[in-house]
Amino acid sequence: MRPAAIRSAPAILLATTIVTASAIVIATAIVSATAIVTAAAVVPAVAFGLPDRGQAPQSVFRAGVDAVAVDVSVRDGRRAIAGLTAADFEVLDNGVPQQVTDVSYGRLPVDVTVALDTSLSVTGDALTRLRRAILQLMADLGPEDRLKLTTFNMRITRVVGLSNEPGAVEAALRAVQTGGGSSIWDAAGVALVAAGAAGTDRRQLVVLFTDGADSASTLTPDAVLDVARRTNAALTTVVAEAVRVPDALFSMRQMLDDRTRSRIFGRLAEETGGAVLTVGGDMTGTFRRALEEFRASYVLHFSPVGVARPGFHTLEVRVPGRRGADVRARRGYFGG
Amino acid sequence: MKPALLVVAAASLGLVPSFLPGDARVQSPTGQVFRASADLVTIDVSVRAGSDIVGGLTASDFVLLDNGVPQRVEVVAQEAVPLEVSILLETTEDVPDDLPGRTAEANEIAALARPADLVRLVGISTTVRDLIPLRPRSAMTPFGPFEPTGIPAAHDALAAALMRPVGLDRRHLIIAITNGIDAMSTLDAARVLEVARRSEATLVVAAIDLAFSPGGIYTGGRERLQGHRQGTLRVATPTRSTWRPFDEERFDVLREACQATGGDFYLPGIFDARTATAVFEKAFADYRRSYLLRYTPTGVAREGWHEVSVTVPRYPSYRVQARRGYAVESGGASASGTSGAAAGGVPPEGTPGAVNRSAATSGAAAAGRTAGRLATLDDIADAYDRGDYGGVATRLASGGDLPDLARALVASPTRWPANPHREAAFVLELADAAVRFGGASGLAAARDLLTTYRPLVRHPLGPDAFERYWLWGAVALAEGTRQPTFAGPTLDYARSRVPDEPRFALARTSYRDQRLSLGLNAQEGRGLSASSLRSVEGLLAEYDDATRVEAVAQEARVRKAWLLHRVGRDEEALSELDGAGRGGGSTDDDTVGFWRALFRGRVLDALDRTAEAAEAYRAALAITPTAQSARAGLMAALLRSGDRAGAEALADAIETAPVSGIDPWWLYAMGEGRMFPEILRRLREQTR
Repeated sequence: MRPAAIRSAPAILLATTIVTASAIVIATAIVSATAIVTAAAVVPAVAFGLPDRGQAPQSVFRAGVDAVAVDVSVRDGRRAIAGLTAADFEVLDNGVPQQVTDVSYGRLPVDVTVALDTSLSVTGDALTRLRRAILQLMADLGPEDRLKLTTFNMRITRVVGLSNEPGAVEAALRAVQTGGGSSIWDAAGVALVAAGAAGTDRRQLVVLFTDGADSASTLTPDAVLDVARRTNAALTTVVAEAVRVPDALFSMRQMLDDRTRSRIFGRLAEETGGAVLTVGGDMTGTFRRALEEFRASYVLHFSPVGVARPGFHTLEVRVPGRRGADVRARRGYFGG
Repeated sequence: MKPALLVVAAASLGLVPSFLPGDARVQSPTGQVFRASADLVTIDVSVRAGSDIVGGLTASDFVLLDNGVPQRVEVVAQEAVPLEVSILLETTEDVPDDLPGRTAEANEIAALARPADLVRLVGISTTVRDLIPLRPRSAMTPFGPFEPTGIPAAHDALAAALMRPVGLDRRHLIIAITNGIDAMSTLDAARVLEVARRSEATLVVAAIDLAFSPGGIYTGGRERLQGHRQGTLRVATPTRSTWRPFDEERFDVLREACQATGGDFYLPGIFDARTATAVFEKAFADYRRSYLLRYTPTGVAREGWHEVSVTVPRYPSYRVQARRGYAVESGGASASGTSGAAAGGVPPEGTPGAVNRSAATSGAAAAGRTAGRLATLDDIADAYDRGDYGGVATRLASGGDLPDLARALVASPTRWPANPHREAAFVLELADAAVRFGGASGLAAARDLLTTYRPLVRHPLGPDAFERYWLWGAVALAEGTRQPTFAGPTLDYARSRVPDEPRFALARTSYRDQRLSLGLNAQEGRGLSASSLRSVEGLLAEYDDATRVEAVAQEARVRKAWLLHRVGRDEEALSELDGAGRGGGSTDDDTVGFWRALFRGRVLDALDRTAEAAEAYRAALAITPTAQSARAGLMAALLRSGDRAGAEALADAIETAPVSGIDPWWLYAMGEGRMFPEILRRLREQTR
């Protein structure tokens, strides 16, 4: 087991490609690779039934340079504000003003991970409309965009890998069956981490559809918040009205009330630059809006100066010339 | 379980008793049918003016409606129809001083029979058995004396007598000498009523014992009941756990049972005569003077339930007693059905006479309606008998309407008359399938099925090994559904039956733990409310009790630790988990070992000891390599420690894991549910 893990180290060291998405730390290859090699030596992947990822491309390192990319959405009400340049933005890293070196708008392709709650509580008409909404979401993707579909009840399953083939998604959606408890926090955490492995030349959006009634996660909401801070995908939660399954079933987890759940989803959205959307009658419109809002975002790049590299960096992004605009960006990143 | 009790229980379920110990005159199930061969229906009718029987009526005096349609009746000379008389004599220690006198009275009652009548004597005690097998009155010699022994299983005895197969050429009169108090039966009075409704026999009970009690009839009875409850009488043996709980008096129900058969329940004091002989002399006389109406139904559909109404219009003040109807099953020859359902006592659902209809009762009708289903049930049972359990599972998964199958099982004759444990084990298979494939109705059917069969496995002298094991299976199945309405009552029953079983005690505590709501304060990190705190402390104390029993100590500590973690007492939780792991750090139960490791990871995470948490998750994965929960925990820990690639690899592994893998964490809330497959396997072996 150990040799397999060690074999993966050279591949990691060779991974030097960079183009980042979202707010990701672009650390030095030396530091990151050392950490990975250390971890790999301790964690024999094959021993836990993991695939041998020795040849898997690594995504976040650019030798010799620390750079940060952060997604920023600027909106006037429901309308996205386009045409801004680097000069329009103010970025504070741990309170220290930074120089924005590059801005792109709607240029990078998007990977959307749809994490679909298929627990006992999402059934019937809601499930039908959900299937329809996801297919429409697939249709709204650009030619370079991709969609991944995972489902979760207690078990998290990737039913379609990153793909731009509507047929595969449609077939998978037809096969979706509901039942069981729900591991929402685990699913959110896994989706956020897995999205990071998809490549640095793309932006990552995770759309989590759920009624919020977690019953089986092993991760706590706090643990997911920590994961959210350390990953680069934006998390948008689409919250369906909860079916009162908790009254009928006893669960492994303390069930959270609606207010607490809303607060957690809100914090996840703030941390990742995502959103919380509620489903009314128009589920298709809700999903479409989630994608449009994400696509109509800027990606700002800067190299942090005047701040210590390790630890958590709080981020603040402003657009001084657009008072009243709704500026959304993740709240920070970990400096390794 | 004693065979006699099994027969009684089977009878209560609509199963036809196929044997009785000591009964040489065993008949096939088809022998016990409504007396209506060749579509000829006969109905016993008694007519009273006040308490006096009215004789001398002719066919023209009666108006009989079959499903509302008037029928042409003839009156059979009752006197000419021979009787089969079952005398039930209580021989318990409850009434030791009375027994010689009662025995003498039983002899006098037997003497009331005519030479051509057949008579048997049945003893009511802990077990129900024939003291004197059925024989012609002319061949009888005085019986007794008998030794008082045991405690009364009166309901079982009454039900067994009611379900006796009787020849088509005879009428069956049951006369019971009992105080009406029951302390041992598997059946309650309501079940006796159900059996009575479908029986052809006429039941007369004289609760003569109460007449001898000082201070009035009911006072005496109540005192006796109270004595049973409190264990102040010496009949309160062998153990309290074998008693039937007397939550309410059942004399009214027994009276209804008697009257449903055209008989009566005589309380002392109503008549001047206070001896059993005197009471039954009158009962005999009345019975012989009742009318037997016979008719061939016309103008009505043959199959299904027939509601019967008998009146004597010329004398409206007369009270007419007759059974309320009969049923003809579909596909059967004439009215000769194969179960008590055809015997005519059970009104269909929704009819005015329908009282306390059980799943067994409705199931009988269902069985008749869906003869094809029974074949399917036979197929499944055949596979079960062959030991083809995979085939059983396959058939059950595709067996169609599982609730219907469950009802059919209850309603049909037992396939394993000599091995009731086999049937009980089979019931768990069927209930399991109903839960898994039958939806909401399947869940209800499984619950009903287990409730129905509990009496079958109930050992009269206290829970034996099989009963404990079967109850464990029932608890495991119920907890596996995670339905409080199923799991809670099942656990309560198991606890009440086997209060010293540590697994049941722990299961009950962990069930309550799962149901515990910690409230909004805890969710928002503001500590526990006073009531939540009390609940938590109570549960912790119960877990502490469980940790003193070796068999469940480790699981109790692990579950206690998880509760401590949930309420933010992580240092204590860690201490418990470490304590649970001492002596090698493992447990015989891999699932508990996994939980321990996983929870250590969660607790250490909460204590910001990330590296140790990662090690704990790895320990869990060493037990179950593909467990999603431990992978997710390790993923988050690796991410926190800066190992992004390791975390991403785990995320990928989680998403692409084979769907067949089971995470032991998912079993945590199911309590004993995780044991169910193994319990089922052992029950199959035990009962082969």
